[in-house]
Amino acid sequence: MEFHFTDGFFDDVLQLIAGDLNLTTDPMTTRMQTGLAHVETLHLTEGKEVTLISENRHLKTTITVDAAKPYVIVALVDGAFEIAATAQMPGYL
Amino acid sequence: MAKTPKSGSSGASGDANEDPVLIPDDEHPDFVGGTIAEDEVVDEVALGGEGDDLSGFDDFDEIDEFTPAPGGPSLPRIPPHVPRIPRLPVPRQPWRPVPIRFCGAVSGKYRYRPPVFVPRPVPIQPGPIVPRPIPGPIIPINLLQINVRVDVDRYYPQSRISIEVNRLFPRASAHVIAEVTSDRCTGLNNRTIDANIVYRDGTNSLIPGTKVRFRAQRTTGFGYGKYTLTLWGGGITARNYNLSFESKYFDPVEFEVDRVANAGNIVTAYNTADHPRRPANLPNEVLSLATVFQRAGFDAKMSPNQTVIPTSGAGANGTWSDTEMHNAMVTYWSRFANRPKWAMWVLYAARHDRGRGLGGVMFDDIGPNHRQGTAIFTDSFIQDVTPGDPDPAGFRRRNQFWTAVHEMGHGFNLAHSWQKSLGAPYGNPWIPLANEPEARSFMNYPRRVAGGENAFWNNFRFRFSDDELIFMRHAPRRFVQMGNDDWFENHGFEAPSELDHTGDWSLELRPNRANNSYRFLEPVSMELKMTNTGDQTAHVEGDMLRDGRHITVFIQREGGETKQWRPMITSCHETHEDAVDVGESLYGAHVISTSTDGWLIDEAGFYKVQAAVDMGDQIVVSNVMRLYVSPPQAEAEAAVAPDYFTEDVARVVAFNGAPELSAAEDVLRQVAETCADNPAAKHAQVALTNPNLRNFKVLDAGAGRDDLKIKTQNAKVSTAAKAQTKALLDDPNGAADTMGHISFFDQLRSVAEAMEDHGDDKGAVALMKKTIKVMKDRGIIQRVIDNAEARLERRK
Repeated sequence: MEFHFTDGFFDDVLQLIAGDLNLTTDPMTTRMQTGLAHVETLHLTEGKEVTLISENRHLKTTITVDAAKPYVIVALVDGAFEIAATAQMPGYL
Repeated sequence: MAKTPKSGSSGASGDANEDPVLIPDDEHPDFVGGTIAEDEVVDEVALGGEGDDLSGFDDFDEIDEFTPAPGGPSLPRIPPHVPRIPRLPVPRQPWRPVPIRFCGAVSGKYRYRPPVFVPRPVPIQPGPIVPRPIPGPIIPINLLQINVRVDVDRYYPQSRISIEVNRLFPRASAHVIAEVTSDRCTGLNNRTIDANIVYRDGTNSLIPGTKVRFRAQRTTGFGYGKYTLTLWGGGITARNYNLSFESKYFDPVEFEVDRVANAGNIVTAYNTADHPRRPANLPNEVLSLATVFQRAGFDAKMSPNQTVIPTSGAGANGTWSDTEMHNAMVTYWSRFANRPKWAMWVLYAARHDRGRGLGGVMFDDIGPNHRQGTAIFTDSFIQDVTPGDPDPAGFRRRNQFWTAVHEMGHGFNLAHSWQKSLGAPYGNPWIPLANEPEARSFMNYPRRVAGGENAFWNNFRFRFSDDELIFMRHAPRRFVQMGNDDWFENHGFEAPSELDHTGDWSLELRPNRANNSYRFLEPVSMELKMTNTGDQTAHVEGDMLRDGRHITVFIQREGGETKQWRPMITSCHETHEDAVDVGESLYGAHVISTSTDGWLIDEAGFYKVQAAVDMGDQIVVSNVMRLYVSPPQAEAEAAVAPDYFTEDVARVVAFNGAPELSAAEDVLRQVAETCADNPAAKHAQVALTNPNLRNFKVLDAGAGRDDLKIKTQNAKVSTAAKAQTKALLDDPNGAADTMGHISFFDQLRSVAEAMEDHGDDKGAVALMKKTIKVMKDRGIIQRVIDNAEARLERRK
């Protein structure tokens, strides 16, 4: 499963928690040429819940793994997470 | 219309320069070829004879023959969507002039350059010599450049007029954008466009007023012959500028397409009918990368230099990092230079280090000059066809072409359609912008619009959005030009600016003394050093820094107005070119306190000085030098000031003596006697005694001008040389400081030559030896010392 962190990030550190997995990302900033900040690949099973936390922005959300849509696009829009899952690998330009 | 070929794919040879089949402009539905007059305001144009019958110009082919400039504003064919002039039955009634109410396209770039005054040669006439006016000084360079971009027709008109002003001295620039409020065709090729200024950047006073009027008028023949720009409104007196048409495009740009060997076939041209998912009324034609940007307003050309880059340069892993691409750009791009220019490198490679998910990137946000290079990755997601697509091959061709234009758009500082409003901390938009998430633009992602990719392609017309076109065509050029403003700064979008980059020369303005502080009354001398910083020997006029004809200096007292220095002495000489090797310099020195109008530096305070040299094909601009003039330090200095700062005294100082100006000489004697510790006293002593080094001719008017005769004042070499030596060498450092090295040593040489001519060889040799010692003490360049020693050697 790929988490694509796209728009709105600037020196953001995120925490991804899924069961025993507790991962903290490096600071990420959206690169404006591509609209992409970072891609995080996790090996998760169908139905698993992933909690996404941004401590400094006081944001928290939970995503359920859907194997049919393994690409999760996460953006920060108007101070909130905007999440979309897709079957097709997102491309950036 | 010719049948269009398939989209262009190229292999090893590339096809960037293939000639795509295009719909001619005047047949293209997106092209606006002109305008028809409004009914209410028509200036009648009387034409005699049968040629006045409009039916004779049914397709306007005949009128096209009178187009004054290829590609320029002309009387075009009537585009299909412009209502045609109805062909009505001609009533049987007395003949009257028929008003022709059609105005051809005027969009493009116009320039204003102030006139350059060239002195007329004074003819040599037989007969007695009579006094005649000396030709006045010239302004040798264009101090003001105005570029006007008119955008009211041709492709995707945006109803804007933008004006860009660059002033050389003191350096300043301004830029405005005006929205068109009316566009009237008042007769055959007689067009008036009014606009309100809505955006300003830079020095407001350079472009005063609130309104803009652009007029294009027919003079003789059928085409436009005269263009004027008027700035008015806001209570200012209207300013008019006569413009010259430069191009139907707004700026030039050159693209160089290079390809990594393993990139496979690359697509640099696309047949708009290649893929079935497209707007139903999209014209069927083959677009090239250049065509897209030409329709965006640029005179886009493809560089003939195309390189196939060996895969060995792509790094051990075979993919490319941004740094590797930047290095490849520096290595392979024939035009690479770390400075702003209208040129871009486009690299087709197989894959980026980031993997298949990156289809292309404007990678050049490294180093001091961003946005010069873009890359398209052929082995990336752009090959991934949407499931169920009816034409996978066409889909891939379209994707690759679209991606290339998208990345090149980033090179013009265009942001993604959904990022336009973003400000800090990412960057700053040039004006408050709204996102365009639904834009059918090269800068949007097809998958992001409502309805997804199919919805995008069904309405995409292979163009940039209106906001993007306004930015590309009318934003301050530094925002747009490659290598200028950093990526995403003023996005959505120099001084330059062209004036910041003067090519192969550098010009240094310097006082050649320890500090830039001057005493009250002290004439300010400046030295100019112009160095060949190019990569080859140049041939230029060797005297160009000395003859006063190529140099312009501006002086601005802080808080006061700017004044132009005009040399009192300009020498006209036979043109001769000297070779100046790389790293070598030309030198010149001038007293800049005195100008043809008198004194320019005559008050205590801070001044800014800047010089420029007209090289013909370029203007070389110096550093700005700041100097300080102290207040009077003695009562005598203040007392003599009213008589000293006069035009006559200025002339005596500038000419190093003028015995006929006896009153001015009296003032200088007063300075030499009462202000002896002031450096001005040294100038005074030199000017007072210099004429005595040789027999000096003066015109004696006698009882009146009818009785003019030449009188000779006999030289008093011994006395003059003694006085000069005292003024120059009693305190050689003080004298060299105040006169500048070039004038100081020239004067010593002049004294030695006068002594020698007068038979005082011994005295001349002694003076030359002292001169050489001062040269060495002051660290003069060795070439000058060698020359002085050679002269001395010849006299021993």
